[in-house]
Amino acid sequence: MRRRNLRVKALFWGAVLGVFLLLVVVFSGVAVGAFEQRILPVEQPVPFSHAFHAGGLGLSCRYCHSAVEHAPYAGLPPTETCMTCHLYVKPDSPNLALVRESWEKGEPLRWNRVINLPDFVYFHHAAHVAKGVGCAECHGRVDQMAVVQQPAFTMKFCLDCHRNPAPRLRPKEQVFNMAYTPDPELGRELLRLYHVRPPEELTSCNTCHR
Amino acid sequence: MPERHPDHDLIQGEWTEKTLVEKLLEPVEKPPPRPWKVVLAVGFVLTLAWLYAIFVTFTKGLGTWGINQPVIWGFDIVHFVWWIGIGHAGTLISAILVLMRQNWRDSLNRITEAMTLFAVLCAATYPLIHMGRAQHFYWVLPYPTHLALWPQYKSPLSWDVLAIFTYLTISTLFLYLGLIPDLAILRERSQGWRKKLYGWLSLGWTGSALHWRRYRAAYVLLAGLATPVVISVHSVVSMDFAYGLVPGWHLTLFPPFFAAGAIYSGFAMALTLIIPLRKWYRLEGVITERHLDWMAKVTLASGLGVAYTYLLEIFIAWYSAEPAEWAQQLWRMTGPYAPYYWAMMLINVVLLQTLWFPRFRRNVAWLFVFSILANVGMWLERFVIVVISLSHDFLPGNFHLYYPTWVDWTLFLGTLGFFLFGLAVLIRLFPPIAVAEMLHLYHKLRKH
Amino acid sequence: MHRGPQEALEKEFFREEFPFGPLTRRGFMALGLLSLAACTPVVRRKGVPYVRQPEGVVEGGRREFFTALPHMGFAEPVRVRTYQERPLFLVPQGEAMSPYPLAGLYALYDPARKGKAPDWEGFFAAWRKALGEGETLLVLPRTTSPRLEALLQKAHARYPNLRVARFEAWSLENVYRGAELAFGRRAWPVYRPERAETVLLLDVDLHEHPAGYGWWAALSGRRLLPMNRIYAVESGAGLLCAMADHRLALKPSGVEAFLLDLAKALGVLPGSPASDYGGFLPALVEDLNRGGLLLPGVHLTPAAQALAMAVNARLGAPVAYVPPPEAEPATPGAFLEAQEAGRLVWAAEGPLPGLGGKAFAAVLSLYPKEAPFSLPLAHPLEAASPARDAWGRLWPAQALLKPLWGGKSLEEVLAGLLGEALPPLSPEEKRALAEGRPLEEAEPLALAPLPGLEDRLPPLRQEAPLELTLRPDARLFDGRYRENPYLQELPRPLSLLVWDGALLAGEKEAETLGLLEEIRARERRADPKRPLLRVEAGGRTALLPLWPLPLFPQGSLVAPLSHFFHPEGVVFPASVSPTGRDYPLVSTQYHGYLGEVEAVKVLTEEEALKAEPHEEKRLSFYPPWPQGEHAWAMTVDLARCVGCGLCVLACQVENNIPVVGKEEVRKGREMHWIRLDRYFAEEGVFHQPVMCQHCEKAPCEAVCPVAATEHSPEGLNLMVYNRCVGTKYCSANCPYKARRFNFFPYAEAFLGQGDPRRAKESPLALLMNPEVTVRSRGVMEKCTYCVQRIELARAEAAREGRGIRTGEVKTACQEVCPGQAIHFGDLLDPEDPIQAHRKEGRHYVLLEEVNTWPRTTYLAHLKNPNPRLRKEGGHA
Repeated sequence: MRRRNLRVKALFWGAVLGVFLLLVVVFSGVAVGAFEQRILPVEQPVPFSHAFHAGGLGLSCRYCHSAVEHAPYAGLPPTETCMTCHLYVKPDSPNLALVRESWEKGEPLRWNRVINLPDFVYFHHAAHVAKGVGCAECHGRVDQMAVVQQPAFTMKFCLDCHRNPAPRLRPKEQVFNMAYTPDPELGRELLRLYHVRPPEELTSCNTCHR
Repeated sequence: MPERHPDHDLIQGEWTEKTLVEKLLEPVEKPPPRPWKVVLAVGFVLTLAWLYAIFVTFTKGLGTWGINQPVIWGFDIVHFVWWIGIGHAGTLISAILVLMRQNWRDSLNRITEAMTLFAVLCAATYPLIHMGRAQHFYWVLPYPTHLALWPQYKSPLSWDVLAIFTYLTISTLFLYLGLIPDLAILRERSQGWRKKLYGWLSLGWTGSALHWRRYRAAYVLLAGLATPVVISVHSVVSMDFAYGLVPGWHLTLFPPFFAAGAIYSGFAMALTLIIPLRKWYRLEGVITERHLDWMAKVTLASGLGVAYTYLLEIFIAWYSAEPAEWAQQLWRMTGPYAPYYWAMMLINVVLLQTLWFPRFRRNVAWLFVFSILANVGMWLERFVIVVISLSHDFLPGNFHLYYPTWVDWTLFLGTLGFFLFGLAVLIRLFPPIAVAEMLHLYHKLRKH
Repeated sequence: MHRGPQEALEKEFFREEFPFGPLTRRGFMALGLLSLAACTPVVRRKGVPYVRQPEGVVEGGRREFFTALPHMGFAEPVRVRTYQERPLFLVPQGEAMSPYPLAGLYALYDPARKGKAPDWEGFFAAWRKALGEGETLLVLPRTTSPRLEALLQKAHARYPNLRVARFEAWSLENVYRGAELAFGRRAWPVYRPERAETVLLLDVDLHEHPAGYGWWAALSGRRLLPMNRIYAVESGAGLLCAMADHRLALKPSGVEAFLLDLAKALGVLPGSPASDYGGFLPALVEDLNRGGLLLPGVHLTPAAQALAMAVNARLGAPVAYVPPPEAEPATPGAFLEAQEAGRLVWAAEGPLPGLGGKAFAAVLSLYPKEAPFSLPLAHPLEAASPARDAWGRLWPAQALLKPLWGGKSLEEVLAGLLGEALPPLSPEEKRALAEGRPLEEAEPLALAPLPGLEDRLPPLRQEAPLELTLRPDARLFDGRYRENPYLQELPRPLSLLVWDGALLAGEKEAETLGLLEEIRARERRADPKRPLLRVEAGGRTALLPLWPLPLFPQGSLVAPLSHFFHPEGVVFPASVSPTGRDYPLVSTQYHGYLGEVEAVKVLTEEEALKAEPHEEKRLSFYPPWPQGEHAWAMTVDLARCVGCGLCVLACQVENNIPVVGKEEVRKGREMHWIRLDRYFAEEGVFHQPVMCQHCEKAPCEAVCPVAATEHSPEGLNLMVYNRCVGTKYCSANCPYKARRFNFFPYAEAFLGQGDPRRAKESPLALLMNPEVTVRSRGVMEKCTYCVQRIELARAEAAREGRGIRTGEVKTACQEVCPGQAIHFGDLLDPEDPIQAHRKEGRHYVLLEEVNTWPRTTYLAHLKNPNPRLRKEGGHA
């Protein structure tokens, strides 16, 4: 009789503890972002290495992603950009077969997008670049990535900066310098200099959602 | 000659403890009477229809309902409020009347608590299914997320979430707590799977003095916690309207108005359920005419609050000199929906007055008819408040009427079906009258 | 009654299979999350760059190109906004624009235009063969293109059997003949209404005259202090005449008789007027003599046209005459010629003649038709030629897209017949296009009225007990825009009907037929059914449902040309009889009277001069919202709003607002963010565009449980679609009812032309503005003050290191309004004209008593009644 009672008691209190732990996990926020699959490296049809081109060769980000200072989208390079070098450099490399095919046939390359913002999120690159947000700030050390891997661009990721932009700003000359580390002191100066709006305005919904 | 207990006629007829218990457990232990089977079957069919209507709503969209611009809330909110209102009788009887030490609640509280539970369940489905994107319903709950966003707490709908959850929790706990001694009785009297079921559910109740002491403390505590719920839940629901500025909604009188209306419709529904129940199961001995008389008195009292508000609304609309408010009152009285408005007035103001007279209060047939009419009247009231107000607000450029569709009607009849089905199943599994409490009452009354 | 895509929209609505809306990437992910906890499959999209990126293309960049788009043959100069080479929006470059080119963007991407692959060479060969065999009739619509005329001459020289006829259901021939009567040569009048102190509108509406919208642009500027005075005499109920200070409603014959009396009163004709029309005529004469102008409708008889021109000459009115823009006038009579011709190439618009029994029959049209040869014409944005506008100027034009479905313009067709290619744009054309100016200005003719008009004046319109005027429908025109759902669902003026044409008549007529009681009862119940009448006129019959309107003169009926066409003219004695059947007519507004709430304020000129700026009553316990860099606000000037609906259409095109179909509009679910309210009052008809007022104390923001609608520090009430769960409390709490809910997946159904599952592959997806989210089922939407334009302007300014300039942000509705009634600006900018608007005496807040503190405010309507006529209340 006592053993069955113990079993019932154990079951009951075990259930209570389980529910309590679940609530703790949910409401403490530790599980937020734990299931993100978007952070894995993405395979591409052409094995382009940013580490080699941007890091090793020192190619500017803007050589390929040329619209980043002018438009909402930074853009992907047209095949023509690749061929400016690869018409002469490694013209027979098997890795570049698809690029050459694209150039000859006039069919564009189909890259797998690494960053996949939902359609209701409107991000404007030029506005960020103009206010001193560096490429590496959000995208990480792309110049050290053989295969590009990106943080999960959740709303929280964006809000973390929009709620406190100062430590993440850098002088406009350093925006494309991947190796630069921002200085929070200077950042506060830059807030004023670059007319960065205060957090209430930066976190207003229309900043990203239209 | 020892004085008789003033409530001695709450249990009528010659009873011993054993016969009383036998009688009260009849619905569970004896084969059910034919009307029960009919109610179960009808309820079941309607429940299936209800599930189908919900399926259609989810797959095809809210366009299958009759809502439009500007009548953006239609039957969904009318029935939500209607059901929530009905549930209040149970909580009042269970909680407030026990704290007021009213003995006549003892034979009524089980059935009304069950009524409350199913009414709240029916009501709670509406906020879920009326959402345009119901798959994101959990966004109204405050939990940390990668959106770094929280719900907007100034909204009465956020309060509704809290209110309904609280209400559901309290009602379920109260029902369950009260059931425990009865489950133990059933446990002792049954075999096989029932014994196992009642055994588990009765949580090892032995009926010892210690258990009774704890039980009594818990019961009174819950009653104390539930008492504010009687007023607060429907006040919060009324804030869905009072918070808004639609003419016809924007009254500070709404919370007490709705609370009164809730008690009125709840008691009316309780009467609708109890009168056939006592007839079919021959429970006239424990649910006496005095019980019905008291219920009718509470119905009258709360109904008078409702009637007062109707008249005051007209006065306020005129006195405020707000053109849109007065136009709304005129629209109610003379517009295309006037028949509904006047039917409501007829039932809730005029016919209500019959309850002043004991002749009517003690006429069981009239009470039954009136209780149904009262619920129809309260349905009409919610229709007037939700639909008619929205159809004629400020700018004539956007006035439009409301045409409910078959989905709207099926959802309503389906909730009625689910309600009846659930109650039918419940009274087959658990005694519809609280056995332990009746035993207590029996002994209390016999002591004199 | 042909329904077109609307039928498809209604039939296909209930085919949605997947729970919780169509299966989007997000939806798939959500379902995945639900079923497979941590193993969420991520669906990757592709990034596809160019192979060779064209010069000047910046991904995600917006560009503007100038061109001129034709409507009824006349060019309307516009600036086309493109996004990634897709034309997405039009803004008027000249005086004003009609709604048709803007709505025509739908036709550009409409997959219904795709027929079989066009075999142009085969068609040309067959045509040449037919031309060899015998007379082949080519029926063209009205064209003002000199290049086309030159090609036609060449073609006629090479193919003597080529006979050309010009067809238009709504013809301008009477005007040319009127000029011939008055001046001895055919001419086209060009009016400058802004220069007149008094304007008399004679039975003309905005869309009925090629310059109509331009006239309102000119007149609206004079509806401010000091005001001009507008009189109107009309036989129907039109928007332009509704703006008059004094209006006389007469039958068509009565209008012309009035004109005769006016001519006599002014001494243009001998004799004295038969009646003084209750004091109207003497007051009018007095005002006209101060500097008057007559604006006659194009359908008045040539005699009436001549009279009007003579009166204008007598008054010294601001009118110039240019050579007729059409080389040959387009008339409805060409329809009969086409029916009789044995060999026919039909390239005109509007009603289609029967093609049976012809040796050679070909149809050239925008949409494929049933014909032995059906070839696609190019959309004006796909192939263009210079054309003249209603003021006689020649505008250049350019194509912005290669023809999507192999269409050719009329010039290209003729060039193809001749076996030549069209020349590319000349340097002058390119320069004119770059600068947005005409190629040629109009050459005014020096004309003087010939004496003795009374001797050679033909008879005016004969009277009949019931006179029917066939007028172009304000949305479908003569039926040519039937395939355009934007226009089908844009409410018609005054009746606010959608998706149908109706017989408009006065309430007296309805009463005579014994139908008024029933109609009133149905109006009360919002029952859409109206009695179907048989209308007989000029030997033809049509079945039309009856829609009675107040303001109609007795004995006058109006039927839309899109639903009743007659090849012999547009005004007939008619008879009507009930058929006993009903037809459902859907209107977006059933309550036409203001009632208790003073939504529209009307002031006379004197009252407006004396009025003090009204201090808005603001009550609140709470501190105001934090203030950002700008404080956006909008004023709507009701004196300049004519109720044309261009703002509604522009908002729809800019913000990806779907069309929902007749059945859904019947239920009250139209999605237009701007609702153009129309109220009948003693002083006349008033229109009030109501959109989200962006209240500073917004009742909607307080009640959303998930914070989907928030206040921005710049004063906007923001709607965040992705957060909305659809509780709809915000809409219930909005006193202006400015919010719209997606009851069904309207956007997907719109793109899929009825089937939501086809939305993804539909070319109509190209019509969607990528800067604005396309909303799916279950979310609320409303006017956003074009927040996407504000944000783009801000990003541009950030890029250039400056702030947003005054007037840099223009909302879509503001840009297209012909009366410039809508002004959007920044309250914190001292140079913004909005400051002056808000300080005017006639400035007021809609529903001020509700204490919402809206940022959208109104300027009261102005009337300038003649003191001599004031006693009667102004309207006869």
